[in-house]
Amino acid sequence: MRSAACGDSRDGGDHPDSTMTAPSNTYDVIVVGGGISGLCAAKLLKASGLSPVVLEARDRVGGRTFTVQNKQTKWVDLGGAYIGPTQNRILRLAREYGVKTYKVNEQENLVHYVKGKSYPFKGSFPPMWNPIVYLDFNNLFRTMDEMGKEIPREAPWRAPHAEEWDKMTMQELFEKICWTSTVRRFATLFVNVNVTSEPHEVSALWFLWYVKQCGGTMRIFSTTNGGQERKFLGGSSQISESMAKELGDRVKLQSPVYRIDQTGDMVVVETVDKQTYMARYVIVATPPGLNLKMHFSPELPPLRNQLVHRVPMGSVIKCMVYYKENFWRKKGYCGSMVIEEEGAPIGLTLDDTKPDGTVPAIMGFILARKCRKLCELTKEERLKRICEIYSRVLGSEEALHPVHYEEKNWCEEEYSGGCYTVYFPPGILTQFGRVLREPVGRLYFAGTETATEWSGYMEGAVQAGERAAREVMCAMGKIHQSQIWQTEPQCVEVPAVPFVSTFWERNLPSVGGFLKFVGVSSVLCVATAAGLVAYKKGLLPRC
Amino acid sequence: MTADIWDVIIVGAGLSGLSAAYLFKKRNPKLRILVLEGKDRVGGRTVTSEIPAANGVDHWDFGGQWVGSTQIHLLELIKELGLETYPQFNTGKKVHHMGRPDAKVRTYRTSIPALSPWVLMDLTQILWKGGTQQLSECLAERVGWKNVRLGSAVTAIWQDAEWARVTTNTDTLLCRAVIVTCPPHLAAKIHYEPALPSQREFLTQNMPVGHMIKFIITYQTAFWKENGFSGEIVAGSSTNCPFSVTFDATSPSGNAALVGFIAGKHASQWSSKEAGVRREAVISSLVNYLGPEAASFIHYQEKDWANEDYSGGCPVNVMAPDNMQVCYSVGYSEMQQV
Repeated sequence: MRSAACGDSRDGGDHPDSTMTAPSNTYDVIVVGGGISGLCAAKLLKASGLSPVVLEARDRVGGRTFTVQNKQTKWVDLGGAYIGPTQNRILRLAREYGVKTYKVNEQENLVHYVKGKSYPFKGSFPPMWNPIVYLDFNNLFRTMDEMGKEIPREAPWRAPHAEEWDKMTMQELFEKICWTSTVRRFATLFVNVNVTSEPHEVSALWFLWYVKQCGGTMRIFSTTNGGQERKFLGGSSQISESMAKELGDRVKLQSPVYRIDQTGDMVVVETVDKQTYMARYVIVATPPGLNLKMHFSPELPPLRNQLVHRVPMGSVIKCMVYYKENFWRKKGYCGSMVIEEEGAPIGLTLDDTKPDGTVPAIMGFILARKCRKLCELTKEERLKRICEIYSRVLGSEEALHPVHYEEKNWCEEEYSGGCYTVYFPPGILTQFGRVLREPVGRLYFAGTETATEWSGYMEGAVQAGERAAREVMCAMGKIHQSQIWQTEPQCVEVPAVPFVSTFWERNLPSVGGFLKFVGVSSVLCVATAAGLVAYKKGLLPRC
Repeated sequence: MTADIWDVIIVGAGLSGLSAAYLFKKRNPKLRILVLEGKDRVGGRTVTSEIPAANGVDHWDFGGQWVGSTQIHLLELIKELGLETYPQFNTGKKVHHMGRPDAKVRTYRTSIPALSPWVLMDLTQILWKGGTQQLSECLAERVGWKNVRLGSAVTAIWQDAEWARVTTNTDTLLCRAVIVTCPPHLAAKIHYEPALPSQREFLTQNMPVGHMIKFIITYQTAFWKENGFSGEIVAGSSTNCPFSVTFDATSPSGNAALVGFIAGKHASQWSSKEAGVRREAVISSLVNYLGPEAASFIHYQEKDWANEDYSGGCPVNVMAPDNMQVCYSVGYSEMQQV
């Protein structure tokens, strides 16, 4: 049961700017949600001389990042963990709080497991040896990136083909572009891994936008030089905890908000245990779907009201299997597995051994359709199935003997609703997308879903939180509108290396183009040969 | 916290919640049943309002309106409560405008071919006199108004081994069982402890409710009937026309009216425009389809269901692809307590 004792030492008067007469529950800004985004907003507001308060439903901060410490694992990230180059905002925060990063092990070979066989490889994507499959694969990823270039990251609904692409699911797009089932299957996994949902569930416009705002297909999927390059030493919760520490008793835990009333001079926010807070502005830093948990007066405008129940969250169970020894590295595998098999629970793994080589572990995701199916099993049964597939992929009996197991089903978290992020079903982005971060009266919206760079990631959470804070400061007349959106200088320790495509990757035809070429050239050849024969035989009239 | 312990608390005083309450009361009048409703009225997505009409004022339904011959439970209930129904007026020319924007406007007379919505929707031909909200009011009457609390939105449901604790904006109530009758996206408004199981979470996230604006226009006379039209228009092609369908809505006491629906994508697009602009567009489309008389109306009233507290949309929640197999089983096995 929730304790009714939380929030009893509310104190908004510790800042010189606050007026002495303000009641103790009155603040400049109330931030709903103590994840990275909400905390970033509050941090920036406080640093700018304002008085914010953060209301968090859970008994911890961090939202979808959640580090657990115990004897078996030392520490483990059950939620968001990976960071990489170009995620400069979250890296800046980490640096400020002295949280170090380390590279996820990718020294040895990765493995691609398909049709019951393991294929070791190096690089971001598994190589395709069949030339037709290669053409198809190359063309698909090139096309996705090219389509992404047309989509404005801050307003995907304004893309030239927005309507057309938004009506289509990724499945339909794959069916249009791909010639081979091999590539279509891999493409399905690509969607599963990146957005924890299925190709038939997501709008093509939204998914292409998502990949684009992460820097393209290479950046989003890569470990080295990509979104999964690094982890925080000691876990990602440290970032939120450091911010919460800095904010002190301005962070109220176990305070789920159920009511936001902006009919009066001050916005009134009430928590389920009937504590009320008042402020001039409110920043809602939850996934958009969780706005449903709050009763608004006046009611949200129709588009926002309808948006919030049209944006479901992805589905994922994050699973860490611990072993006595790091047997995969001895076999020449780094621990990254790309697993294409319907019966396998896991779609993608990464090595989760600590950087000093202790606590050997493999992190794996149960994604989308598989998550929905397997969440009904017991924890033991899931572990058993996971070990079985690892054993087959790595060709090692040792995988069957874990020493410890940690998992987190994010779908059972009432105050997340799923992970990693929302997905947009077809038709929603063009119809409702533009109200995603449009203020409603004195309500402003943060949360990684409202970001324009690395939305869905910790980086997006920072961008969104700071942007929302600046929007409020702009509304207060403290900064100019042009200062709301700010770019971030590159992190020195984690530089981004551009991905260079080869001449062939840029210019090889698609399978369709290749077949056309073959068709046209054979017709030409036949015609030339026929002409030559005719000429030789003297069948042509000579002048 | 009150010391009262209720046998069953029902969340939502729409037709579903009140029917459940009514059934409990019929089975055992001693049961302590409490219905909690967020709105300040019963009826949920049925609402009846009085608006100016040819003979002064009259009642029209701005939510659910029709009942069909196969809807036996509802028909039985109507009979039991002693309410009356009457047939939907449906004779005369129907206007059909489908296809590309430059498609020809066609008229037809039969009710079978050419995609008459009545045929498609199981001839939902019967309205009941005095409006559909009566049904909920009658039910509330039988359940006892003291057992129906309006303006009491449920904010949290906490369950332990013995009791369920239901919190509203003003009270905390103890009970043995809870029935949540609100649509899935509104069930998501409630804070649960323990949290709902994953599968239920998928369901509530994947069943958005439709977007619909319903309008009633009253006229001095049913000029469309005089001109041989039934009042039925199916318009699917013009971007200037907000509505998808209209029907005759002349009241049983003879006040002439048309009813129409702005639905789906059109609703999202038109809801963000000024009410006046929307009305102008509706009227000019009616003039286009039914003649210049359509311009001289008595009253135009509309209801945007996306704007309604504790509805958020209308008429029904739709399921996203693929979720049927995952969620159907959990959807209707409610979280019964004790």
